[in-house]
Amino acid sequence: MITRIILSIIFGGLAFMIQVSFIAALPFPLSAGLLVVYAGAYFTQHLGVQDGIVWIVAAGIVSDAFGLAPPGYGTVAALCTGAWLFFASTRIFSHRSLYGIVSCVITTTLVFQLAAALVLVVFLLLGREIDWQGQANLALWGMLFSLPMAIILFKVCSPFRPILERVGFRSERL
Amino acid sequence: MRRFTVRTGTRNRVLIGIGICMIAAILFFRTSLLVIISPFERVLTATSSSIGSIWTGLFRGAEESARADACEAQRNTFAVSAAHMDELERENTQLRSRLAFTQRTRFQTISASIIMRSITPQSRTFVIDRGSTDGIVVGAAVIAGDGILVGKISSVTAATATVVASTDPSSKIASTLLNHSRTIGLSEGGTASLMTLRYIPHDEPIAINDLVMSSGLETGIPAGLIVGMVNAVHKEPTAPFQEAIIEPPEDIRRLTSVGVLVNSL
Repeated sequence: MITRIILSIIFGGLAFMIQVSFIAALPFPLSAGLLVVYAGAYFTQHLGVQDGIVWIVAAGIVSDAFGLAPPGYGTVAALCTGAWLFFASTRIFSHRSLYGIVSCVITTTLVFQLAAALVLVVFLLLGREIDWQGQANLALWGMLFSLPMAIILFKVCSPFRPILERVGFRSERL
Repeated sequence: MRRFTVRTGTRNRVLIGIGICMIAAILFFRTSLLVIISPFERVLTATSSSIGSIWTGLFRGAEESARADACEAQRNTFAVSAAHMDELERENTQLRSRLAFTQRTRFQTISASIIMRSITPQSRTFVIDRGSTDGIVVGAAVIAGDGILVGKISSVTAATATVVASTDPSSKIASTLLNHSRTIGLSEGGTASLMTLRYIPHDEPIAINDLVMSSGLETGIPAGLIVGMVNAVHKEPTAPFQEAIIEPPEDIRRLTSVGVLVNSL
């Protein structure tokens, strides 16, 4: 149990670190990738464990804690995405095939973008100026990257699944 | 749809455990955690910047990219020299009238590496690996190169500080336009990676490529730091004021290290 918790924190932390240190410094559109969302959705859907939801929510909270996003933006968007991912992975996408995983990753990314847009609508109502065109570009590229990223994660991580199951990442679905 | 049941007891315990550990790590051990991970993040940031240059080179063509980079560096050097000359001239005048020399020398620079960043249309912020133990305070100026203002410290912990870039929509910097009348205004970040110098009366002359510098009217930000160059002027006869669009000389996406100006007195 302890090994699993530590590994989960390492995986989630690593994904967040790569997101904010590596991907964020790449030129647009490469910087539009949402690694934590893709990895969280993949992990939750493929392994059947919900640690990925915790990663996404924690990443949102950390973004707000460090002031990397406007106040509340990261947390609210991440909570909505986490709620959707929980619902989708337990009730909608029951298959762990490539198609099931790709669908789950894409819809989770879509929900993240919609939740982010909703938060921005609230900001707009509060009098903040919003760059909708820039946001739409970012969302579009984020969505476009979700497909190849889901396929890459599936191809790269599948061989490690038995190892992960051995250390405690066993599916909670029966 | 396949029906399945969930072993809620075990799952909830594990998820709550992971959640508590992650949030505790963030809240209580943030400083220690960042000290451990910042070397890795520095490597990731540097690698990413190199990949960014290659990516830009792919689309521009290697030769054109090198020429553009050289021109950009030359432009920045000229801007720094012009700003420095102007500052020296002004300082000289001030020195002759009163002994204000200390104002120029009371700041010292602390070098810092960027370990996290968020560059989206709604926010342009980054986190550096220096904090209050190094003497960094909220409101301190963050510079790149030889006196190019890139942002201000917005929050600080023992080992890290968050910087709001000058192009962030929430950023406001007291600035001076290097024209004949030394127009004073407020450079505000916008939705694109540009700034706007607002509330300039119509009779103030503004030209493209005029330098914009910090005015020194803000605590923590000395006068003479380069904010940017005038890229366009919006002048509508019906509007009470004209606006200058300012282009910052540095792209924060490319930066890997910065300097923080702290008061040495």
